Amino acid sequence: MKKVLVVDDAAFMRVSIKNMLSKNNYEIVGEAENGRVAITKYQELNPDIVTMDITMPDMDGLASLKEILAINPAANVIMVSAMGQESMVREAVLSGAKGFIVKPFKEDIILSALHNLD
Amino acid sequence: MANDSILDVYLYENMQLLDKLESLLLECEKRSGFSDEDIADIFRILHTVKGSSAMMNFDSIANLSHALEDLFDFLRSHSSRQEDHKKISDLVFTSLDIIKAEISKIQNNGLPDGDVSGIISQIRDYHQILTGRKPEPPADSDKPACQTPGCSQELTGEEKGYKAHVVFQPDCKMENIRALGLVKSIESMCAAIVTVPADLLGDHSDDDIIANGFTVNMLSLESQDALVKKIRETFFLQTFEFDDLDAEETEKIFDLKTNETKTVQANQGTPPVSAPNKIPESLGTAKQSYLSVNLNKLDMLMDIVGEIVITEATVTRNPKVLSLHLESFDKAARQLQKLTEELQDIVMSIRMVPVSATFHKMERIVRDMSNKFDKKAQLEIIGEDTELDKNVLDNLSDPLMHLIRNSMDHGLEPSDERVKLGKDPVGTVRLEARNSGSDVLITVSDDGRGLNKDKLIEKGIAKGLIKKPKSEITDKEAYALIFAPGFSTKEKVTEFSGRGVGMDVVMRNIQKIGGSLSVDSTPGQGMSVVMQIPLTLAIIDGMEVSVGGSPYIIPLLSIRESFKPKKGDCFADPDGREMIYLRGNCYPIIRLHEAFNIETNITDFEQGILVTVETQSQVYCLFVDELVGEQKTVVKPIPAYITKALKCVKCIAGCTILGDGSISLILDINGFLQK
Repeated sequence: MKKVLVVDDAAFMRVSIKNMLSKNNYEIVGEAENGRVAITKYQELNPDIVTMDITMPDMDGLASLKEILAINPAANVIMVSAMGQESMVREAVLSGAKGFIVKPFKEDIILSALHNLD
Repeated sequence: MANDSILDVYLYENMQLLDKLESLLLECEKRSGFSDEDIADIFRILHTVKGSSAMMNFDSIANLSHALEDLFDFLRSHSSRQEDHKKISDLVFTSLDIIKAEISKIQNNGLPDGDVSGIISQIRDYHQILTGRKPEPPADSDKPACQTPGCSQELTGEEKGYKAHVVFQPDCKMENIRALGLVKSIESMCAAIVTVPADLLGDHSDDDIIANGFTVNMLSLESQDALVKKIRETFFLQTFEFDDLDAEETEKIFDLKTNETKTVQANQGTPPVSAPNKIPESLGTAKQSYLSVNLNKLDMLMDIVGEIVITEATVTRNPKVLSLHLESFDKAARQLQKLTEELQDIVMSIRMVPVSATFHKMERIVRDMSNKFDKKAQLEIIGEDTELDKNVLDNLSDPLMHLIRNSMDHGLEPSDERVKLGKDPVGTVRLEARNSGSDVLITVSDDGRGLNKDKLIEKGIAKGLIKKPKSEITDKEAYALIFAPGFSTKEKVTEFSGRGVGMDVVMRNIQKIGGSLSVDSTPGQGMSVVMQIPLTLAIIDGMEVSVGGSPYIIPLLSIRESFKPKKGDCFADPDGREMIYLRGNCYPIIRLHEAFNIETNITDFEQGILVTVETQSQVYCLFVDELVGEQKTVVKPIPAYITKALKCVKCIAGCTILGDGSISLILDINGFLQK
């Protein structure tokens, strides 16, 4: 089972993603509510996949992505974006995010994205 | 069910966010402006509400918050804005109310099907006006320096040309950026890349890709398999074709001439320039760890602790065990009792929350009514750190709202009238909480015109609520009239008050949580309503008494003393009411067996016991058969079907289960004197 770290400042989103993924043979090993905590958890938990929200307080998803990639250039980080965040998504992709999904999304979308990482 | 818990999380989180938004707005209003930090905070809240609501398919909420988010996005990227603070504030307040109403529907198992198109067009119209005025483009424009990602393979001349054509899944969004991502993923494997469309960064480049698909021509030493495998990692590919390019095509596309080695200008991996993200350093305040707890679990915990308290008493006070005089048992029993008390205290304290959140919610009401009635008013809050049981506080919210509305609507005079009277043109509504013994006193007062005693009496007599002659009616009795059901001296029924159902509902709500109400007023200066609310709601110390074989519990706090009366001390007053003479004072006697119509052999005062009890304002004696003993009592409310049927259960505060399993009623000391 692949291990996933879920990063989003909204508890609702974390629970939603957790539910969608754990039903489908992914193990949620941790959660983080901002980019800074995400980095700490990444180092602690060594997940296979990270889902990363973009807009978060304290440290946003883009900055966190870059730090995580600095720790592990092969890290599988998927950005979770909203419409209107094109420039941030672009920068994330160019920085090395493996891909992105756009809110709102249904279960099949996020699963399709994660399966691509297999 | 997993789905139910998602909804719970959604509701909890978003209600919190909306409350935070409201507080923010009120604060900004006081300052008559939005700081950059305010805009950022408000933006983030709207963004989160939008995202979560969209995930739940709550479109009305999502669309409305989206419109506001766009507005605030504009504000935050245009620091030289000159926004109309009041207009924006009103728009957000209105939207807040609409969203809260939608969420209410959801909480009541309905659908958020409100029509938000009106408010959204208002927001967009104002947004238009703002953008219209501003000639310069947004600060972090979506127009980056045009760059293609860099290919890192050095051109050797041995490369082969390949072409891939992909079509993305419909509606996967930001197709141009997905294309960009695809290119980026293979750039380290290629010496050169040419894409169609060539520009992946401009506006509408995604339209092009949606319509025609995306073609990437590669010049690479890598094997076809390696490239295909890499491209397949791209998300949301619907179709994918991969072909070789023949030598001629390759030369043409990549502009290769044998005597010119053109390497594609590469900015090795540096991303396009964009405004660096300002990461604010969090002001390191010592963080206290908090935990969100499901209230149902706390209720269950309270119930079980209550049962433990009773069971502990049953075990340690078992007469047979006590008669054995076992020292080791006594020691252990004392320890158990001590621990049980501690457990009870801690569990009760977990449920205690400061009143500040509820008090501050009232600011909104004062603000709205201040605008509506054109009366300038301010809310003064005192003692907001005072704590109350959460259940109690939740039940307090409605009564407080009603009392404050009353003050704003009826109590406070219009500003010009106040000035004529020599008062401050800004009226004050004061909300105060303080501890008093084992109770919390909550006071709602204002400096308005006060209650009109004559008008109240007139209405009371007209409604048949008061039968005494006018001259005999005391101030307090007149003021207490406002709590009678259906009583309202206001001629017009307004949106906020005047339907005559308000004050008696307030009274009932307070009584429901075991409290009491009193009203005071000074004509021309204002009025105040004091609510006395017991802190220890669920578990009280009681004295078990017996009447005709039935057990009753009297709250220990209400008891002054108990004694066997002497024959000569009891007498009857001119009206036939029985009284007792005690140490220089006379107190009325209430025969419990008469009050409750119980059969008992003990009817002579010398045969039974008199228990002196006190309420807030009076002292009297209850006549019972005998005292059984002190008893820790878990107060359970009278079941609803009984209160509904009897309409009025005046002298009973609740009921409890005794150690032997029998049921005992708990007396409401306040109730007997009103008979």
